Amino acid sequence: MPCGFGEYLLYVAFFPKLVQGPIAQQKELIPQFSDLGRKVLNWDNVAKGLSLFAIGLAKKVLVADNFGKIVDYGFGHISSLNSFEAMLAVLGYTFQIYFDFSGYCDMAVGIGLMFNIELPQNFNSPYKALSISDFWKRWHITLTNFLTRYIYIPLGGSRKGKIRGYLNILIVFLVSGLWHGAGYTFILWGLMHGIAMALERITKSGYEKLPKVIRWILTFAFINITWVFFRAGSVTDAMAMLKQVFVGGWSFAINAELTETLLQPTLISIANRILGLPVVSVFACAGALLTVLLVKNSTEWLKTFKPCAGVWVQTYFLLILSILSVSGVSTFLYSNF
Amino acid sequence: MKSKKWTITMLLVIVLSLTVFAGIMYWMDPLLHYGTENDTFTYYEYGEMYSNPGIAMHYTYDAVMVGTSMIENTDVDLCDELFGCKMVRLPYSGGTTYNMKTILDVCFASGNEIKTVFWELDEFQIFGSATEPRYPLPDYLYRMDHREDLSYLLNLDIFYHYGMNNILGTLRGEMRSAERRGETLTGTFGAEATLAGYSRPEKSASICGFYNSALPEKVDANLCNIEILIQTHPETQFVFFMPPFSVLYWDAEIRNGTFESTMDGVKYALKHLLEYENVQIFFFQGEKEIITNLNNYKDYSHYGPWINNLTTQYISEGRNQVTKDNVEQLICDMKDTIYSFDFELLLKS
Repeated sequence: MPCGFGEYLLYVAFFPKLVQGPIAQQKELIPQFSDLGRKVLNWDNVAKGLSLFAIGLAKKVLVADNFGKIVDYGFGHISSLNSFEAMLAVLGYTFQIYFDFSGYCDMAVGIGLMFNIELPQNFNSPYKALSISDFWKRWHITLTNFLTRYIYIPLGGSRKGKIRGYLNILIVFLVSGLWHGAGYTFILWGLMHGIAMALERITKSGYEKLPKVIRWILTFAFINITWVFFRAGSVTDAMAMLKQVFVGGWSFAINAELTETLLQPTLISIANRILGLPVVSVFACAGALLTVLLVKNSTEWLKTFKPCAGVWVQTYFLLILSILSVSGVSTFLYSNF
Repeated sequence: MKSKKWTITMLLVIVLSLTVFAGIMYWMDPLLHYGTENDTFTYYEYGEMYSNPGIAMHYTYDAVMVGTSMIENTDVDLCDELFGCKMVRLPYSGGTTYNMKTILDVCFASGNEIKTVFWELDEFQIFGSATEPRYPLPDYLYRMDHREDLSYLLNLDIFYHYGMNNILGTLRGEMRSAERRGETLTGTFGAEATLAGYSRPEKSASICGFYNSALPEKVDANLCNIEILIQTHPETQFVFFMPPFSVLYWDAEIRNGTFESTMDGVKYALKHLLEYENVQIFFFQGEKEIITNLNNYKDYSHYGPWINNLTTQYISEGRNQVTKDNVEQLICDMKDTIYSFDFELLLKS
């Protein structure tokens, strides 16, 4: 699509999407930059954008970063984890990566909206997926679209026979793995998703006859397992982490060093006083799971947005708590030296 | 509610709330970033990484003691009395030379005329990281120029963990200080507890050498952190002292095959430091009476406050001082003490 140099610069440097996406195509943004009607202050969009930004910031600072504390500790001390801690680390990463990335995208979309620029939707409740293909229609949607458009279709897609179609899927996911990082863990992660997608196509009619609950469990379990490879420093670490879930020994207890780390954020510290940390952790995972399954996602929420008092209070508290929690007490208080 | 009103009230109330919060934090100043204790509030001895920079910036003193947890039981009043100084103690549990340099830079920039730096120097510093603190530091508290103060003023965790504590202490009418002057390293001291906590390493098949390894580079990097301070502040006397770890620490070194290289590294470091006129060094690591009596310890390295008092006393009397003439002999004697000690008998008992 033809555009001026200024519009081109604005397209490549549009700061809300610059770091992590969403991957917006030229044809999606350039017309908006050229649209004079968008170059005026639109209070409806500013309110929407601010509210969405608050949700994104809270997802990142209040949710993802706190799960990240469990995850960092867990993946740094794999061999010493009990099964409970290993499960927390695995599930924690599943939630961390979703709330972190989708939080970022919410902030990007929110800031875009404040400037009257609509960025494409990047997440659509991915953990509600009932199959791997469904997952990829909901997770990092703009990347899936990008890979489909620029790799899968030019390779022939599914038009050149079944076998070639499966091979093309594997190639796309291999590229997706490499795109995320040059390491065996990422390659393996991509390949696992590619193989699962191909298998799903082969067994489609049988798979779809399974009850929804079973399909959801299979999909969610698979995603959890593959995220372990995505996060681990090496394939050996990933295997060790998965093994630790089963052989770490059952104990409803959290290591003292991890406890110190988790008690630094005020909100967890307060919850710990009431419930105790193991219970807080279980509630946090259960809460996160229910949120991703039952609560409207940001795009759905935005469609019904009204600048009412309830949303005002919600936005205020999310913003205040997030801003005051950004710095945190991030360093270890604990030391056994 | 109209979007415009909704947004403007939101932004105004957010800015107002943050201003009020920052104002309270500035007034209370729980980590003494802006000055000494405010008379309205009670203050406590908070985590070293958090409270040390405030003390270093705003207290009045002419002597500083830095070191690891080995100085957490040093009696500051006794030091003041024996050395005729006004000292602050700024320990970093498990701290590296990076930690020590960072806090000493704050001390020297504080405006205090520092006559003496007492520096507990141990193997963890000599062979540790020269470029990283033991744990990530809250850098915003170590900046004198207040460029990153929003990280302090708009920090819910600092308000909750430290500020709330100050408020509750004030309401209870407690009178405390943020400065650590007495014993802070707690635990059960005695041979039984020390031996119970000791996990003897398997004997290593290989012996690690010093000069044929990467250790000299590590030691040089740490010496660089130390020497730059010594060179930049020739008017300040630097008093280094090496703490008396128990024989169990050295047993572990022998079992790991690192004892010889450690001793060579220590000798190498001491010889370098002895080149400076404004340096004094005291060596307690071979002090047989102390290190062989496990009743002095709570684990293989940490000793009780009476040992801190003893080493303070020895330094004030000039005992155990290392000179260019005796450094070789001291290390040799130390090795004799360790090699001649019957570890098997001790561990059987």
